[in-house]
Amino acid sequence: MEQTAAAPASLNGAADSSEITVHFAGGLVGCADWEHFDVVTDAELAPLYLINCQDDPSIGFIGADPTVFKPDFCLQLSPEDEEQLDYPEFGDLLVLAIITPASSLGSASEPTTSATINLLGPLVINLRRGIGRQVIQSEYTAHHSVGG
Amino acid sequence: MLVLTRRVDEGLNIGGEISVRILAIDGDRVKLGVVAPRTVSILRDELCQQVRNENTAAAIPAAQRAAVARSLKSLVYPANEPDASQPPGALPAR
Repeated sequence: MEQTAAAPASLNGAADSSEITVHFAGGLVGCADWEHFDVVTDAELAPLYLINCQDDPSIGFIGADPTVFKPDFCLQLSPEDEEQLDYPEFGDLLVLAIITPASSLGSASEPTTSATINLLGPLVINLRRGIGRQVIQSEYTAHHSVGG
Repeated sequence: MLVLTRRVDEGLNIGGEISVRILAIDGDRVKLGVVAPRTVSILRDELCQQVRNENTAAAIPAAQRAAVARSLKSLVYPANEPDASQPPGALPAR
């Protein structure tokens, strides 16, 4: 992938730790106030990503490439999605599905025993432009089982 | 909320570019036809609702996020799983 000097730091380098700020214009689906996120990964986390909301620091997610959990996952972008993402090239895209841990919330000491991944509403990020969009993939479930 | 009564084969226009037509009514099911520019996304409400609910359910407080991630990683990738060696930040291989 060719990088111009003006391109934002991208997450696909070989660095031990990488972070990019992503603007989701209009926020996430049904969550209009959550617009700006830091997407972070490092050697310890990979292939998971932390997706930290700048607008509300108490909000954040854990995400992963959906093909890790569903190898035949196929993303479909509508013309509106492509426009919102500024017509990304394939190599500009990072696709992250949000993971919902089943039992950890409210008790940090208790290990997570099962989780689901949201394939219905993955986050699609144009790394080159630092913009993202939560796109709806109506042929997939919001509760795809992982692990456990 | 604007409330209108329409019959089969009638419709309405929204903003000049979007037109909705009642094609058929069968019991409690209504078949709608929508004509809109291809850049306008049209989604069933319940899908948006599901994604919104899941976004809220998946949010993890900042203080717990890293710990939950570690816990998830060991859940998803038991020790020595080859995929765990994937380089950080690798783009999706598809």
